[in-house]
Amino acid sequence: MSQLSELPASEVVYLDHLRTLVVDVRTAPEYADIRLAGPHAFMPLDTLDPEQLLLQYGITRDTPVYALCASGARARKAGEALLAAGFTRVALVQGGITALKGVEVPLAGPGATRKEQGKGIPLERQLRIAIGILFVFITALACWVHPIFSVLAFLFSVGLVASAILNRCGLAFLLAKAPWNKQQSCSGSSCSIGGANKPGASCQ
Amino acid sequence: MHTPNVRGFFDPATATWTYVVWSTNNAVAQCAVIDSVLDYDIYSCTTKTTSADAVIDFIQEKRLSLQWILETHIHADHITAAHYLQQKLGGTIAISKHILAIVHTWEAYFQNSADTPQDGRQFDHLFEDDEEFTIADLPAKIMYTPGHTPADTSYIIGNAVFVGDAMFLPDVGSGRCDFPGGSAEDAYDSSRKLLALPGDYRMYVGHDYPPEGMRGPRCMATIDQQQQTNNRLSYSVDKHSFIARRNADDTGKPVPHLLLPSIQANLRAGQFGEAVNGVQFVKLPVNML
Repeated sequence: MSQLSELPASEVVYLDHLRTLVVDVRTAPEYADIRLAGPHAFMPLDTLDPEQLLLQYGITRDTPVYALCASGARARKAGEALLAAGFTRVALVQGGITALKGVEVPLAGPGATRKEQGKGIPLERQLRIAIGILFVFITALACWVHPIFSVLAFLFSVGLVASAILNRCGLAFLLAKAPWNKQQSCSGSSCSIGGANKPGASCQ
Repeated sequence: MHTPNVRGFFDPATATWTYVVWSTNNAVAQCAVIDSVLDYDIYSCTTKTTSADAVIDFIQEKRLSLQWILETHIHADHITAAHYLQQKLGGTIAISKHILAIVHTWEAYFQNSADTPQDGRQFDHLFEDDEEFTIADLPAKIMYTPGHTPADTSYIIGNAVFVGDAMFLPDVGSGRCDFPGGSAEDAYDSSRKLLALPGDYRMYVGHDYPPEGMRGPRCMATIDQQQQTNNRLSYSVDKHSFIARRNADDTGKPVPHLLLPSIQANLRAGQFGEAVNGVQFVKLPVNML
């Protein structure tokens, strides 16, 4: 059986879609969010069927195939399954789609143009943490200081429902202003995502 | 039943699938190419052979000889590389005899009888309906499947059928029917002929337009899958509702970018017209569409 090899993310841009096939093995929601802009196959790991890959994408067992996932773990499993099925030229994309965000590969989907959150915790999770801590404090106050503080819990709950219905959240607004949520300026190619900020086929 | 080997090549610029079909059971490995693509830039009027060269490289790597260069119809969205492939690898360029009507129809637009023979001799072979032929040891047969254009032909090769634009994958549906001579009624009738093939036959489509964010470009669905889930032509759709929806969707649809250069060159099997001092031209009729 052939060996599973690895392709650095920076090499993906040089792959010829007429002679090779990238197989994205992530889940449907991950794929909907961000994916390769060029031709590729999409077949989640849990439904990966080597025979169907051959038939649906018109390849042969000796077509070079590159398995792609979020960071590389699922791609390894997919690659090993393809080798076991008799594919002879199989590699995984090192670092997966996460690594592709940092190199010059055209990507598509909402996640391809979304501003990077950096390495911090996304705002939505920060919000859940903040509300959780608030309720711990309110419960403590109501138990050990005075039961009247439970009114605060009632007010917060009403506020949460209102914010969900109106889709406006004062707390999120405050959190977004926090210093750790400021976009950090970037230099070089590390912040360029796909072709979004490249000039098109104009006279530019 | 013979199961052919099939390698598909997808051209993202025109969403076209080109196929190499061959059998490995034969000492002399021969193949057919179906619906090849000559890359063409509409603004600079330049051709490239990137797509066709990938097909040629594949045929040579597999040590196949090119026996047939087949066209499912006169394409309106890309130029065929049939002529280029024949120059490089030989082979017989073949298409349905029904294209003679297309040649005639478009003569009125292009006034091109001087360099586009009206008898179709620019093609090496014109298939009769239901004509049988072979690709090496693979049995092959023509099925006349008009609708998208009046001359669309499907090729049944072993247990695979190559349908051009008569049907697309289940979540895409079928080809438009608003070109000159196109007919939604014919398209429905053609689909019923195709869906009457055995359920495990593999249907290979001429284009794929994958729904955004759902999947990559694919080329094949079984007859069973098409019968049950094609969103325009499954067995649960009656003729009247198909025609109504097809015609409504085709009304006011813009013409493909490459319509005029494509049809013009494809009527000559992928050649450009008569040269003047070594220069060939694409002729664009004004106010004719």
